[in-house]
Amino acid sequence: MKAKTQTILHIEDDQDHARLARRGLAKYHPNVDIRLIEDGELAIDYLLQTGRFEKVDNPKPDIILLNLRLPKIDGLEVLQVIKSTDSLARIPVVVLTSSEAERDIDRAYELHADSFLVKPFDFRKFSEMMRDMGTYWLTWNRGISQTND
Amino acid sequence: MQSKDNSGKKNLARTDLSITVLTIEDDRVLRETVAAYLEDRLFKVLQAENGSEGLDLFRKKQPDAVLLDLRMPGVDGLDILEAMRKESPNTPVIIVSGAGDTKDVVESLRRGAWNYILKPILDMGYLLHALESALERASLIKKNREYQKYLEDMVRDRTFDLQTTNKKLRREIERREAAQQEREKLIERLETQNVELEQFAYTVSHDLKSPLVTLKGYMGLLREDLAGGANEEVEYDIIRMTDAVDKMSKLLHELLVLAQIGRVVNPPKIVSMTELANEAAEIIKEQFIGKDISIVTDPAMPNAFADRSRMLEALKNLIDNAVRYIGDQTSPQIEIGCRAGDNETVFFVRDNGIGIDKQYQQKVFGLFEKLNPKTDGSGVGLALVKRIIEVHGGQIWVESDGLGRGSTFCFVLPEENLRS
Repeated sequence: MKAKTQTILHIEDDQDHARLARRGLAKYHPNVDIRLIEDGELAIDYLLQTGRFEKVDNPKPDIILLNLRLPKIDGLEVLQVIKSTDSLARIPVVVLTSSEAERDIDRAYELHADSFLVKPFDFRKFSEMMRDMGTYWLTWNRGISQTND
Repeated sequence: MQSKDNSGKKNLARTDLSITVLTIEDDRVLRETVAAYLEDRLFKVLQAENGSEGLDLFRKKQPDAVLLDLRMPGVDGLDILEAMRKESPNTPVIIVSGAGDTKDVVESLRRGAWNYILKPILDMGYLLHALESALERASLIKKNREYQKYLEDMVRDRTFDLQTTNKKLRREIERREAAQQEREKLIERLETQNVELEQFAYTVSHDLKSPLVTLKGYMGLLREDLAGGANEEVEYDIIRMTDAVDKMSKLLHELLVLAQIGRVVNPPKIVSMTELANEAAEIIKEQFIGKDISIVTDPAMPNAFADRSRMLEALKNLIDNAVRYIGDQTSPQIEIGCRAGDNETVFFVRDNGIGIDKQYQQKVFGLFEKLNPKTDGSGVGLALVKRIIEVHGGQIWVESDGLGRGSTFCFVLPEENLRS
């Protein structure tokens, strides 16, 4: 398990926010493979290996970082698909959004989001958030067994 | 004289204005005796010596009571009785008849005589009594009829009043129901607007925050990159920060425009949609100089009663959108025109660009909704167009057979606001 590269699927339409997250993560978790997907529809295709990703053997992510406002298919809808698909339901989904609206937080937890993080303004805080998030989910937390890989 | 009255009853008739009695009697002595007796008692007496003369007087003078001899030469007394009964059923007729005519008396009573007196009249008191009770009965019948009529009138009046009140009440109820419906509609509209407003505030706060996160984040990055001497990175960080500021200022500007759409009202006037479309096309062409795009405008579009500057803004945005999403089309074409819909005129802006997937055709009008994150639009344009069309009482939608097959943005305006 130690040798295995861990994968984070980052579903984010804002290039800059994606870059901030990547920089923050890379600093503390340099060996993590971050895959960026820019809209909800592609994210579902990636995860279900349909559409553009039908014949692509993508690594199953260890964590999904999910923005809520996404083009085409909304983040909450993506979350619903993940949590209602047996092969994906146990992957920790960390919502990472600039929304602090209660209705988003409530709805996300109702749909079994594992974590809800609000994007901080400060880059240092952003980095620390990514560091802690990675440490918690990738290191401390015992992930699902990899036998179905 | 009255004191000699043998009836022993109070005489109603004589307290009145004079009562007229017609006596029809061929026996002159008897007739004059009766007349004299009655005149003494202040009756006015008309005399007739035969049936036809009696009927004549009856018709002309309309007496209050009649004393009728059955046996007279010429016309039969019973026929006279019948004629009088037919013409004035409420005038009492008292038969004066000989003792030998009982059969005729019975027949006369059957035909409507009020009373009878046998001749010879031994006591005039009997005659007077019969006359007065008949008059009293007639008067009672008359009063009764009047009272009945009065009651009927009253019932009719009250019924009419009641119906009038009912009608008023019904109108009032209808008025209140209409007001209630109006109120419910208003509440519904306010609720819709509240939801829209909430959605607007939510979207705005989210989307305005987004570039701030970028800005602050890159400031942190910049600091690190400066410390680490990563010059290329520094350059990139600054570009991204500048872009974020530009994005935010653009957003703010467009939000301001959008907010004003709901507020500023230019008085509507008749505008030529063809002229507006041409003007909008010219403006957009200038913005995309170097892009070879053909824009064709239908020269025969109807005029519309509209806010000119807003309608121009809507058309500009639709054309701008078409240009922006033309894709890598080798012969880009945009067509602005109108067609007959079910029962209205449908205006459209058609392009042969990248098209829109069926499932996202509703989403494109949402504020800050962008189907493609890489385009430089802000996601306000179509929301703005939708708002303008709706403020004009119209509707907008998009038709597209799917990706790569072009899009047609269609809108209708209230038909009564169009002039061909």
